[in-house]
Amino acid sequence: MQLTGAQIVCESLIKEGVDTIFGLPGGAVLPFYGALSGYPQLRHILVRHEQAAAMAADGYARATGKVGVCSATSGPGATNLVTGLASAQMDSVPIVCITGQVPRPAIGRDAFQETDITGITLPVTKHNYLVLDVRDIAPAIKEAFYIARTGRPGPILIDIPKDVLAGETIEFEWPSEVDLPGYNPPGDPEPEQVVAAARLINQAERPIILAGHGVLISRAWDELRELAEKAQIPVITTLLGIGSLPTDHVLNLGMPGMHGMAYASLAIDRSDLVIALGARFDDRVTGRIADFAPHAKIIHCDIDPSEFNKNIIADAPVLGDLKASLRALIPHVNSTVHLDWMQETDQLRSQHPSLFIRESDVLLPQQVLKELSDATGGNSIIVTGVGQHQMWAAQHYGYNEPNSLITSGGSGAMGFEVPAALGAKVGRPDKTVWSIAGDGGFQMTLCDLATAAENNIEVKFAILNNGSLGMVRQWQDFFYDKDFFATIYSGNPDFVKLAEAYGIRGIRVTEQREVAGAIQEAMETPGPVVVDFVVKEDEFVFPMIPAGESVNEMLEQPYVKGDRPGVLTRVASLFRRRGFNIASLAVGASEQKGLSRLTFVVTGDQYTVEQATRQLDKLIDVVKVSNISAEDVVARELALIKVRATPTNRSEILEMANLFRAKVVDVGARSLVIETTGEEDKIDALYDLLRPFGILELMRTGRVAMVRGKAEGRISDDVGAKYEQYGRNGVTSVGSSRYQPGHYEGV
Amino acid sequence: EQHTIIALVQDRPGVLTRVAGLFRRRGFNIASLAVGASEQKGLSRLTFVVTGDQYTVEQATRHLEKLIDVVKVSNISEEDVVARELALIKVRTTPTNRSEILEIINLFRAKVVDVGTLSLVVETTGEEEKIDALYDLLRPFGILELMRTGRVAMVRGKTGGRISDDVGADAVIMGRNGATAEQAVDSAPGHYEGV
Repeated sequence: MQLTGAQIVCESLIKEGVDTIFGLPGGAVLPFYGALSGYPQLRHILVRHEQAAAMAADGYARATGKVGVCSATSGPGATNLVTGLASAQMDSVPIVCITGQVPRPAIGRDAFQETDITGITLPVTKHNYLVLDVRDIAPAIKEAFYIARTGRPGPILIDIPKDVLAGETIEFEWPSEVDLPGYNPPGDPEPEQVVAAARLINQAERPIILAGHGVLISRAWDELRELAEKAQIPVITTLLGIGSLPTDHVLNLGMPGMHGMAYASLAIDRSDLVIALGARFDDRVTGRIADFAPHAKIIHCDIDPSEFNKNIIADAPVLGDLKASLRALIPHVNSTVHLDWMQETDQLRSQHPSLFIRESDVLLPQQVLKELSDATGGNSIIVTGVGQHQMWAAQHYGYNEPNSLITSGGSGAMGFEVPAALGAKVGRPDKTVWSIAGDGGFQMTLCDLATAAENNIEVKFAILNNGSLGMVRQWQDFFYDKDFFATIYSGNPDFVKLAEAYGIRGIRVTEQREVAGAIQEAMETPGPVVVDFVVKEDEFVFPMIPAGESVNEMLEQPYVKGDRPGVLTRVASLFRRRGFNIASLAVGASEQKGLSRLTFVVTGDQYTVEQATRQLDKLIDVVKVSNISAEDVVARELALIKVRATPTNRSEILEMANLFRAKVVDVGARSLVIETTGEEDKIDALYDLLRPFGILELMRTGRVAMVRGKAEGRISDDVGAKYEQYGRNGVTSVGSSRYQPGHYEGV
Repeated sequence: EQHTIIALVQDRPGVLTRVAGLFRRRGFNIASLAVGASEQKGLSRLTFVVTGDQYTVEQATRHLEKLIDVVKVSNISEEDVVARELALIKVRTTPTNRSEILEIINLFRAKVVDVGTLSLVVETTGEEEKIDALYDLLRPFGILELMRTGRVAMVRGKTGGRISDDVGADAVIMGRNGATAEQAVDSAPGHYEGV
C-alpha cells in the first residue's frame, strides 16, 4: 500500500513500540498531525508549550524506561524544544523528537517559520537527522530509536520537511536492521579491566561505591546491591543515582557533593578506593578536583569511554554496559567486611546530622518533604524542578525504588517540575506522582496545568512557595554580600486561585500542623491537585560545599542544638590547613548557654592575623571573632608545675613559690605541685627559677584574656568585631562580619 | 605538541560540521584539516593535526569516536608515516628576478604551473618543513597568494600492507598505575564496505 511520508512516520513509530506522543502542531508539521489523527493507537497529548513536550517525553522515558517521543512544528516550535533536549542530553535520557520543517525548495531561504534546527541542536542531541527523501524516513526513525536507547542514551531529533511528509507516496518498508558502521556501543567488559578492578577492591580497606545514573539506566540495581553486600561497601548515590539502593538500606550512605550529606562527602574524603558505577564525576559531586578523594584510587565503570580521565583520572577503568560489568566483576570480589571503616562511617553519620530538621514556628520546606515521605511511605515518584526545593527533595524524601526521583540534574532546567511530572504519570498511571515545585520554576511551565486538567493527568503538585528564586538568593546571601537583587518574587499569583482557574483543586498550607492533612486531602482528591505550601522565605540548603571548593570548606547548618561536637576540630583544622601558627589555645564555657569561648594566641604578621580572623569568621559555628591584641586587656594563664623535691631542697622551693604568691596544691615524697596564675611572663619566670630542681610535669592552659570593662562594661566580642578591609591603595572601608545578632541563641 | 589523527567517516551531509562543531565546543585546537574521498565508497578520510597534550588528544579521539558518522579514529602520531602536503604559492616576479626564483624552485624540485607577467605560481608537495623552507626562501620576492591543503598522512605499508585505520584504532585505555587494557572501542573490520 502506498503511504505518504507522514503515514510512514506513524507506522514507524508503531513499529518501535510507541504509544504516546507529547506535542503541539503547526504549519510545517501539520501533515504529520493529519496522519496521526487516523492512528488511535498513538495517543497524542496536546501540550501548551513545546518545552513541555520535550520535558514530558523526558519524564515519561525516565519513569518507564522506554524512549519518550515528542513533536513540534518548525521554527519557534522547534527552538522551544531546545531546553528540554539539552536537559535530556546532559542526563542521558532517550527521547526522539519529530519536527516539521519548511518544504525542501524553501530551505536556506529564510522561509516563514524556518530555522536550522538540526544545526542548532547539533551540540544538544546524541544525533539528529534532516530527512530529505521520503524513502529515508523509516530508516531514520529505526536508527533514531536504536541510537536513543542503546549505549549511553540520549535525545535524537528528526527534522522532516513538509513536502517530504505530504509529497510522494511510496510502499512502506520497515528495515530489518540498522546500518551504522560508526556506532558500536560497548557490551561486555574486557577481562583484564575487570580483574584489575577486582584486585583494587580486594585490597582496599576503606572502599566506597559512588552509584550514578548508569545504575538505573542499565537496570543494574540488583547487581549493585549484591556487590555492596558481598564486600560490605557503603554506597553513596549521586543525585541521579538516587533510588539505586533504597534510602533505608543499611549500606546507603546518602548523596555526596555540593548539597549532599556531610557524612557522604567526608566518607569520600577518607576513603582509599572510590568505585564509580555509571557516574561521571560531575563538578557538583567532586568540588575542587585537586582535593577530591585525595587518598583514594579510582575505579570507573562506564559505557562511555570519553568519560574516563575526563574529570578524574581512573586507576582502573572498566568499559562496558554496567550490568554486564558488574556481573563479570562480582565473582572476582572477595566476600569481606571492613569493621573499622564501617565504624568510621557510622561515626561520621552521627557527628554530622545533615538531615536534622530543627523546630520552627514558621513552616519549613524540609518539613514538608519529610511529611510527604512519611505519608507516601517513600513509594511515590517524585519529580522536581531546580533549586533549593530540588535539593531538599533529594535529601529528605526516603526513596525506596529505582526511578522514583526524576529531576533535571546536569542541566538544571527550571520548569521541569510540571511537564516531566505529567510525562511520568502518563507513563506510570499505577504510581502516585508528586511534582515538587519552586514558585520560580512553577511559573515557567504552569501553562501545562491545562494539559493536566484536559487529560485528567493525576499529578499532585506541591509548590514550596517562598516568594523568591531561592537557590540564587542563597548564593547572594553567602557570596554576594546579601545583595538580593532580582531574586525576590513579589508579584506571585495566588496559586490556589490559579489552579482553580484551570479547573484544578487548590489547597493552601501556611502552618506546620496543616501539612499532613493537606497531603492526605490532595491524595484523596481525584485528578490533579495543586498544594501551595507557603514556607519560610530565607531558608538555606545545608550542607553546602561552595563552587570550586572542597569538603574541607563545607558549610554545615548552625541549627543543631547543644555544644556541637567538632567545633574545636574545625577551628584547629582550619588553622592547620591555612598554615596559621597557634601559640596557645584555651577553650571554655561562656556566659551564654550553648556558646563557648576560645582564646588563642596566633603568631604572625598583620596579614596572617587578618587572614586568620577572616577565615575563622567564615566557619558557621563561629559566631564572632574579636582581635583584642591592641586593646587594654586583662590576660591570665594558669599553670600547674610538678617539681622534683627532696627533704633538703623543699623549703627553698617553697620560698620561691611564696615569692611568686603561687600555691602548693600537692605534696609528695619526691615532688611538689605548684599552682600559679598570672601573666605569661610571670609564669615563665617562676618556671625558669624552678627548672634547676627538675621539672617532672608542666601543664599550662594558654592565655585567656578579656578587655577591661572601663566605664561602660565593654565585652571582648564587641571590640574588634568589625575588621577593616583595606584596599590596595590604602583606602579603608569597614565591613562587619557575617552574622548579625539574632541569628543565634542567647544574644 | 602536534598529533596526527585520521578519522574515517561516513559521507553524510553535515559530517564536517559535526566534527568541526565538536572541536569548537570541546575547545580542541585544530592546526590543519584535510578531507577527501577514501578507497571505500561512501567513506571519506579526514586527516587533522591537533595541538595539545596527551589529555587533549585522548579526549579529542574519544569524543570523535562518539559521533555516529565517524567510523574509526586512529592516532598515528607515533607511527612510521608518510606525511605530505600540497601547496600552491603565487610569487611576485619581475623579468630580472624570474630566473633566480626558478632556480630556487628547481632546487626544491617544485613545479611552475602558471606564468604571468607579474607572477608565478609554484606547485610543491612534500613534508611540511620542506614547504615551509621553500616558502621562506620565496618570501623576500613577495608572496601574492598561498594555498595549503594541510597534512595528509598514511602509515608505511611495511611487510603486511598496514592500513592507517587499523593502526592505533585500538584505543589503549591507561589506568593511573600504568595498568593497560587494550580495548577495541569502536567498529571492528567487517562493519564497513571493502574490508
